[in-house]
Amino acid sequence: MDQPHPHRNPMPAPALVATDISKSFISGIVKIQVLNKLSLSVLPAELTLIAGPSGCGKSTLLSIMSGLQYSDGGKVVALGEDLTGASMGELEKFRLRHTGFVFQGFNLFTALTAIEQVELPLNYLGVGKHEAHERALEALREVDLSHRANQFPAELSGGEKQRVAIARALAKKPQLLFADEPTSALDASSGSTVINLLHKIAREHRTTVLCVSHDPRLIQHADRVLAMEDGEIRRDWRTESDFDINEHLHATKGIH
Amino acid sequence: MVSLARKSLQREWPRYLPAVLAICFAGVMLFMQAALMLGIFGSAAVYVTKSSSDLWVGYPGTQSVSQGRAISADVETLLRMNPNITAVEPMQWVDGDWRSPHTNGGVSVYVIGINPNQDGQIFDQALDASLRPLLLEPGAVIVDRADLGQLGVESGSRAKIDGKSVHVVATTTGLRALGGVNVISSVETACQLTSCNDKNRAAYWVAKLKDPKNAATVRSQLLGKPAFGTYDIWSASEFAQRSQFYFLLDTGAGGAFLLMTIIVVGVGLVVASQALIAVVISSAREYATLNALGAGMAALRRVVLEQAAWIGGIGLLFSAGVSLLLLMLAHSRDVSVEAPPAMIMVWAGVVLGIAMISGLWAMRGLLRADPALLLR
Ligand SMILES: Nc1ncnc2c1ncn2[C@@H]1O[C@H](COP(=O)(O)OP(=O)(O)OP(=O)(O)O)[C@@H](O)[C@H]1O
Ligand SMILES: [Mg+2]
Repeated sequence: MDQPHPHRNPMPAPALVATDISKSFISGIVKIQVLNKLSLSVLPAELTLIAGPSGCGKSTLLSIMSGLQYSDGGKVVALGEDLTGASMGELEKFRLRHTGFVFQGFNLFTALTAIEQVELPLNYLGVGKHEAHERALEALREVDLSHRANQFPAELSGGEKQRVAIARALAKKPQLLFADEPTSALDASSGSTVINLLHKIAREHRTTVLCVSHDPRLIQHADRVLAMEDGEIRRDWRTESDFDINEHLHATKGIH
Repeated sequence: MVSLARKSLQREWPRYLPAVLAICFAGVMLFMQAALMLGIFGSAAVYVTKSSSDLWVGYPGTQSVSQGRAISADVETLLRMNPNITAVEPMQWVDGDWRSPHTNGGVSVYVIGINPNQDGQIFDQALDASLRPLLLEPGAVIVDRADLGQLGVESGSRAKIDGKSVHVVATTTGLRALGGVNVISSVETACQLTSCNDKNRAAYWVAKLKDPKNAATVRSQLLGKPAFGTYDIWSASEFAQRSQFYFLLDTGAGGAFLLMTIIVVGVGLVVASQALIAVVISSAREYATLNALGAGMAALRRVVLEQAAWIGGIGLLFSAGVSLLLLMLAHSRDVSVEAPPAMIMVWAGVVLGIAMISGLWAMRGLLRADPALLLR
């Protein structure tokens, strides 16, 4: 963890590894196979973007990799912990300690001010009152919203709300940050602020950021892009590095 | 610590108002019902509880004061012979038909003949010492102030009971009866008024003891003496209870009260839980986000319960205020209501219970807080 540019390191250990995961939903009498034996490794300290058309299973993949939902088969290892056989309670505990989430909807409590939204999850982590407040302020500062700390969601713009939601995820200091369509409810400039923030978080906090979107404008901001279609990953490329992901995946196959 | 429950209530109280009102409404209903019930309950035994007698002697199997059958005066001798007894007097109970120029037809009354002297035991906690001697005048009666309208008289008026003239010499309070009107007179008057053919018979003989704690002992000393007639003996508290239970069980009032309580509690539960669940569901996505971030379901349930507790507490306060006003109104109208501390405690427990059970019920709203649903 002392390397400033881990992706230049030929062999960083992946933070998230999914192996042969499958997921299907029964809808009426029809069984929809959303994911079919999909395998994927996500590297730490960078922004990985999963892009693909609507309904191809991006969100489903994200929820399985983040421990929000069980897969039908296969294995998910996050930060070296096997989530496959974990109980709901164990998953909750894992998420509490390690993961942050940013959703398309901002999902802010209408009764809480910006800073209270950010403090609230820290309370559940057992962070003391004073420290929670400090950390919340710092997170708001990081998303450039400290001047809005005492505002209610109704008084914030969409972009500002999403930044509060990011601060809420960030204040936990998670190693894993999951974002599902974080920009699709926002206009172009708010959207680019948000994706830049996520990118900055990956770089500066060395957080593994896994982002899902069908918005092609985000591609240029990601370190790595996975193109998904029909429950499969069709393409996997890096945007600005010479690092060969296929070679790396090949080298880390042994972990799976 | 950010208290989500408290902050939500403070800042979005209109959303919680329906739940608070439901609790408040149920609270007031339950309170007034119980207070009226206890008031009526008290009326059933008012003859015993407002008198200073320690022992009551009456016809065997008497279920309630109002059900007394006359017994022979022989028992008076037996009572007077017992060294533990300091005073003995009869109490007459006769049903009568009251008529006055201002009543349509007759009003059914209970004529209660008591000792009009200063040492009288019956109603010595309800009749002012200055009123009792007024009963010495033949035909004099005292009625409850609140019954004047029903009897069609005012204090000082004359009326007829079973065709014989009576004179309302004074009024009192707190002596309203169930299913009739209490009319207090002297034993003499009661006998003259009604076709009481034997002056020596009375519905009850009551006695005072040197030491009221000895009631059970004295009772056993007095029982089983067939030479003194057919009688049974009860301590005052026992007889009061008997009368109340008779009223509760035999008149169906107990069943009606229970049914009403169940209905009010049921309606309160349904309305409060529906109102609360609506609030929970409206924040389901936010709860789901918290759960995604690791706040356990147990913690979220606690938030809902905490809200329920606040709603219960606030609803309780409101209903206590409203109930107090209604209680004062009832008192000013001479409606017999009673709210002893024990009743208030049970009531508060039930009201908070309704809120908490609504909270438990409203937790079902959290089922919608599945974080996987946020990812679509
Ligand atoms: N709980 C569910 N029950 C039934 N079907 C589901 C469920 N969740 C997802 N699906 C189906 O799985 C498929 C993939 O859904 P998913 O939400 O992963 O798509 P997506 O790639 O995120 O699409 P979008 O870009 O529109 O968000 C869809 O066809 C959807 O209808
Ligand atoms: Mg989606």
